Amino acid sequence: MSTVETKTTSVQDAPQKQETHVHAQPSSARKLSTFLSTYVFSKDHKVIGLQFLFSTLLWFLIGGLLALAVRWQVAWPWSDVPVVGKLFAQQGGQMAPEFYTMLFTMHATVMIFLVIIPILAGAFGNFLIPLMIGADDMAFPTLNMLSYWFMWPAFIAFGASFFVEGGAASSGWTSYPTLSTNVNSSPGAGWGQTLWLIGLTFVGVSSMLGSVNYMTTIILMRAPGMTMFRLPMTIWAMFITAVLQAFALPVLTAAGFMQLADRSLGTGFFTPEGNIVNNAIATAGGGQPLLWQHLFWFYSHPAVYIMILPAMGMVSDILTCFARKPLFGYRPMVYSVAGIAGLGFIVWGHHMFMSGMNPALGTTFMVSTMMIALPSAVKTFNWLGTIWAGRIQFTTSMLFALSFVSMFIIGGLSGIFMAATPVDIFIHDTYFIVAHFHYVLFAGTAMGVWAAIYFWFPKMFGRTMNEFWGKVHFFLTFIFLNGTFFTMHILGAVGFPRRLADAYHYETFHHLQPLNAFMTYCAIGMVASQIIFAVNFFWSMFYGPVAGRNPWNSNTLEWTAPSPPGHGNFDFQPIVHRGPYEYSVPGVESDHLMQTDPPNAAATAAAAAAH
Amino acid sequence: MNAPAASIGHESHGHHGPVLQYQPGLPLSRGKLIMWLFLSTEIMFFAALLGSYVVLRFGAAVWPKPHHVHLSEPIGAFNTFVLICSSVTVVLALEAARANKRSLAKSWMLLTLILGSLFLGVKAYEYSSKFDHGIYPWAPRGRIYERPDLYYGSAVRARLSDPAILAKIKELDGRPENELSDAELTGRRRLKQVKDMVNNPDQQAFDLAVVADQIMPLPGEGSDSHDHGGGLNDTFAWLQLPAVIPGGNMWASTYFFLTGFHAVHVIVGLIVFSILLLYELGPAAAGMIENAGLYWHFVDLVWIFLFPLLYLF
Repeated sequence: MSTVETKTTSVQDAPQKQETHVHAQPSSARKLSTFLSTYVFSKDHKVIGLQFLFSTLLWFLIGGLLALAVRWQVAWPWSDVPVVGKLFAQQGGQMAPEFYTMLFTMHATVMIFLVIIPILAGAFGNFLIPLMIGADDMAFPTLNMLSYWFMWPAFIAFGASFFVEGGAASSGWTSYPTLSTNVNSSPGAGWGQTLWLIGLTFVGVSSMLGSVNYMTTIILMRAPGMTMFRLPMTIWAMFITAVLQAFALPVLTAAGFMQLADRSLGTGFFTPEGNIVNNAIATAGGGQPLLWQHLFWFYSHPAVYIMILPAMGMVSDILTCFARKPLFGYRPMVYSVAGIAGLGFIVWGHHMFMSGMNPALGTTFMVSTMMIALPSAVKTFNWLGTIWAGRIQFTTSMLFALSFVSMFIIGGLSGIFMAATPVDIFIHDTYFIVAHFHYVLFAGTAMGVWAAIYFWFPKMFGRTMNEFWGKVHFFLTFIFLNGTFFTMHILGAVGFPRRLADAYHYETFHHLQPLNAFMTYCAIGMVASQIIFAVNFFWSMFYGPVAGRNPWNSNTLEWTAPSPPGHGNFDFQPIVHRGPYEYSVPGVESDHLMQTDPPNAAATAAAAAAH
Repeated sequence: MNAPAASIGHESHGHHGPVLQYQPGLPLSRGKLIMWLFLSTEIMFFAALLGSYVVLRFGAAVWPKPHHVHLSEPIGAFNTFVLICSSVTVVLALEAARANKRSLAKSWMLLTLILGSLFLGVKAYEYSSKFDHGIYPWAPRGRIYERPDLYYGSAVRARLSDPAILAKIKELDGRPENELSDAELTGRRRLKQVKDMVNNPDQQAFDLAVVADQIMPLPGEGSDSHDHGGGLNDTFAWLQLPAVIPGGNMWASTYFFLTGFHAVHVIVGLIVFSILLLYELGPAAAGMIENAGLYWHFVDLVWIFLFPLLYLF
């Protein structure tokens, strides 16, 4: 493994050469235990971050393939699924409607709980937080390791649920009762649903352990001089995300336990009076299905921000670096992240306009939801202000960051449509909603994640990714994603329903089949473009050009550490003298002042020359 | 758990870099801060459970009185007292440890452990008295019916035609009157009446209400009586007939769920105390004791909310 080599060499490059005795005398048992403690049960935040990254990228692939299967059915319903159809379909190569329900349930579940949340908080949170604040590791490395290993029971539960009788969960990623609580409601409502709930609980425990650790680390382990208002936006976003996770997630955990009890212990929290399925005797009842929806969205709406705030933070850092300009309005950016998070706790009801909730309550949620547009707009305009008249370097990372901003504008604006109750009532169960959240989560967050991967790849592996193939990857992904998701707006506007295995059952939608076929072609193209990314990723890891400490001439602390940083991160004591965005400061020779650069101008110039 | 003061920076374990200095934002040790943050997540967890309880209770058409479900306020109050005492003893253990009175600290810690176990013991006794009355958190074993309807009638009929029960009834009928107490005599007569009523083909809805009342009468409004006025289930413990408690199923769901999760937290606390007892409880262990104590106070506080919500209102 070349990563091993680069890691050791970089450590040896550091001034502490005398400590190489650690690597002496490789007996095979010792080698194995060293391998296990370094790469498997590692307590080093960087290794844990990379473990999260690789696991989530693998699930990203699985989630993407599930999406393709969904697209196949929507474009060409009941036609034989190519290649893999024989493996899972009941009749020939054709999928059953229950199977389709399972597909979109698990696509969403995998993408949300096993990809987006852990890749942002788990992979980038872990890798970047100690490096960017000047710490040698997280406050509690063992807890950090546990937070990764608690993901594995979840991986196994979600993965195994595909193979149990009845298949994986199929009541939507929202798992609404009574579809989910009644074991007889669908094939996937048996073991599949139980495993889904168990998996969710473990994801919850993992996130909880991670988030308290992140908060403790950011509060107590910043380098001298690194005041809260000198933190890069990435760290601010990670911090506020951790707060959201810590306060919202336990509610879902509690609700998950309640649903688990309803299913396996016969309690009736979410079972309404007189609920009869398949002519069974009415269960005791007295429970409230709406209660689940409130508890679920109390978590899952803040979770929407958990899924985008870290990407916003990282994109802010990338934009400033490649525009060579300070971040426009640093404090407003911080306050708007906090504002989004705060408001995020009081808007969950906008997911429930169609649920039969009291309309007066709906209006309250409508108003609070509209208010989120304000901090979001502050962020968007500040990003535009940041790149305005900048000396923009169109690196792959910057292209992804720019597309994050522009796609987020589309996703954000379509969000305002459904914040309004009357509009939402029309579009709620249509593809308009699907378009909206894919613009925010795929065109937004996933593009932000790619920007971050291209940006921090040199710090992770000591080598730079190939720029040409990176740009090819970007343009193909960008074109195909708009082909897939923008079309969904059009479908949604004419009322094409989501979640139906065969909407052409209604004659009025017949003419939309060619559009759907076009979207499926684009989706296939989009997944196929990721092959370029995968090859570039692994090729560059071993053969990419070796990067120095600071390949992008960026300001933040992680770029003062070796690439990749050794155990303990820094080979010197970082002391912070300034904020993270001092690019193109007038009267300074270098176009950037690193956070560690000493304050007086002469020393600054000398330090800049040294870099 | 017990990290040194954060400003000192923590020890390096074979790090290649220098030991780094930090600028802590709060004058707290890492252990204490993460414990507070962890407790804040726990607050949200119990807030969700308690919130659900409130929603379910006030959304329910009927909710049983504590006496209908065999809740005893004095026992609950006693348990509250026990838990509060244990919160005091854990503070005394911390004080003693800080003053380097190691054996005294150990005694207080042991007393905390004992009080916590006593709480669990009382809780177990309360649970078993629920189980004796057929109040189970889960449906297949639970014998609670919401109303005296046809399902209830057929459940009583099914129980009374169980061969084992029939044999017992036959034995009861065969016993001479002078061997039986007054209550048993009345009970025998009532049981015969109940049997006739549930087996009557011309059964009226009112009959089943009478049956339910004979099996387990519910004390009326304003009644202070803690017993059930000698229902059949009380007179003959082996009968275990289905009982009617309006709202009883949802009550059982919430009661066992809330107290169960609280009990799990108590058990975790007891495990932590047992581990602490293995250590020398001197000033060096004060941080650990303090963190364990913080957690224990939280567990105590949850009960302070649970007791009035479940027993008094």
